[in-house]
Amino acid sequence: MAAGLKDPALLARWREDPEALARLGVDPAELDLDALTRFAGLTVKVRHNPARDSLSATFRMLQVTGLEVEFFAAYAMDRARSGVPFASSTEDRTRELVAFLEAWVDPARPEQAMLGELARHERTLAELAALSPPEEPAARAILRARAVPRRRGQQRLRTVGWDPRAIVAALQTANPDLGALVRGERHLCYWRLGPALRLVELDIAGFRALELVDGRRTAGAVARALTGGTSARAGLALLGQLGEAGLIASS
Amino acid sequence: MRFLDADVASPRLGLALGPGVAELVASEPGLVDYVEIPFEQLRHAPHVGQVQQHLPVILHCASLSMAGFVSPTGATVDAVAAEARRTGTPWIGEHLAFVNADAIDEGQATPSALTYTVCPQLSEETIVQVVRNVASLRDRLPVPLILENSPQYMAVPGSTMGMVDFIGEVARQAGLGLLLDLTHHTITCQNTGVDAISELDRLPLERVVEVHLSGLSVQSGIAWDDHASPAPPLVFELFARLLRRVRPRAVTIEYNWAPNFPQSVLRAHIGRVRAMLEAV
Repeated sequence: MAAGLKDPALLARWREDPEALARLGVDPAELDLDALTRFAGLTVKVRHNPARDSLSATFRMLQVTGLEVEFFAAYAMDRARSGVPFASSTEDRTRELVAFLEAWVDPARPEQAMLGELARHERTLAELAALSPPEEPAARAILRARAVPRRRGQQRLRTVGWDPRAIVAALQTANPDLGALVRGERHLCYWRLGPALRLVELDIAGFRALELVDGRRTAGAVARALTGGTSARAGLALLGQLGEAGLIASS
Repeated sequence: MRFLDADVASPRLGLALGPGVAELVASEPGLVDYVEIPFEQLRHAPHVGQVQQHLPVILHCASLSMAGFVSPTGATVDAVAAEARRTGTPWIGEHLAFVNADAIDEGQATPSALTYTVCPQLSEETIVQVVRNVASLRDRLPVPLILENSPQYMAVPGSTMGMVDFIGEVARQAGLGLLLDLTHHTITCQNTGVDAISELDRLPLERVVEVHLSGLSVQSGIAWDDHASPAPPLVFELFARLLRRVRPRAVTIEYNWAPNFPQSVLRAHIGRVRAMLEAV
C-alpha cells in the first residue's frame, strides 16, 4: 500500500498485471486498487492545499461537483507516469495544477467546462495580482488616426463560454445551483492598473479593438482592421470609447 | 510562551493550525485555549511556533509510524522529543497508522516514506507491533503519547478485525490514552458499513484524552477526510454522546485546509463546542 501510494504508477501496473501483485504476496482480490488510487489522489490534494490561496473557487467547485478526488487521483497518476516530481514552490505547483486541469476537463460536460473556465479565471487574477506594474501616466485621449494607442496597465484578454463571475457567485451559496447557469460567450479584459485589479466585460467590437492595440499600429490602422477598411471613423470612435474608459491611451 | 495547564478541571478547546489561525488567535486570544501544531510543520517551518506567544500549543505528530514495521530514525524521534520539551505540550497526539514501510520487490530499493498516514492492517500482528513501538519510545519522549484512530478508506488486506476492536486492544495492551477523531470514526464506519453510534459505544471512551472534529466529503462512493469542510451533524451527535460518558481534556477543531473557510461557520462551531463542554 505504501509503495503504491508513493508511486501511483505501480497501481496502474498492478491493475494491468494482477499477477505482479500476487507475487508480492497480496491477493489482488483483496486490495481495492481503485480506492487506493483515489487515496493517492487525496494525498496529492492535501499537498496542494497552499494552492487554495489563489484557487479557492476552483477547489470549491471540485468539491461541489464531486470531482475532487477523481481529479487529484488522475493528477497523481499522470505525475507518477511522467516521473516528474511536483514543483517545490506554491506558484509553480499551482501553475502546473491548472495546466493539468485545463487538459483534463471534458469541455462537452458543462460542469467540467465551468471548472476549466474557473481555474483559468482564478489563475489569471493571481498572475495579475502578483505583478508590480509601474506607475501609469494619466491617459491621453486618442484623437488622431496617426496616434499610436497602447494598452494601459497589464491586461489579459479572454473569451469565455461560461461567465466565471456567475460561477463564483453561485459557489458562494450554501447549495450552489450550477444547473441554473447559462452558457454564453463573453469577452473579458482582466485589467491591472496600479494597485487596482478589475474585470471589464466588452462587446465583441471593443474586445477585437483591444486585441489589435499593440503599441505599434496606429489608431487609423486599428480602425481600418476593425471595419475592414469600410469606416475608419467608426473604428476611431470605438478606440475613443476605450480611451475614455482608460483601457488605452496614446503613446 | 504560553503552556497548557497540566491539571485542568474543565476541557480545553483549541484549533488545529492552518491558514489564518495564527492571526485569529493573536487578535482574539480568548476565543480558544490552545493551538494544535504538527511536529512536521515545526520541524520544517519553525516560525509557525511563534503562535505560542499568544496561546499554549499541543503537539501533533505524523512521523513515528506507530502502527508500522519500519521504525522512524533516531533523529526523528529526538526531534519530536525536543519539540515536545520546547512547546511544553502535555501529550503528543500521534496517528495509529504507518508512514514508513519496507521496500517491495518492484524495483524499489529503499523503504517507502510517506507524507501521509495510512490506516494499518487491523490484526493481532499489528497490535503486537504497536505495543513494541510504544515500548521503544516510552523512555525517549518526555510526555505521554496518545493515539489517534485512522480513517479507513478501504479494506486493508490481512485485516482480521474491525477498527473499534483494533483500537480497544491497542489501547489496552499498550496502556495508552486515545485521541478520538470523531470524523475519522464516522468515515471508517461509513466506509465499512457499520453504525457509527453503536461502534462509538464499544470504544474504551474512558481512555479518550483529546477529541478531533473536522469535516468529511463523500466522493466516488467513499467518505474522505476533509478539513476544508465543517463537521457534519452526525459528528456533533457523536460528540454529544461522548460527552455523556466522558470528559476529554481537550477538543480540537480541525478546519485548517482552506484559507477561506467561512469565519462565521468557524465561530459558530467554536461557540457550539464551547457550550457543549461547559455543560459537561
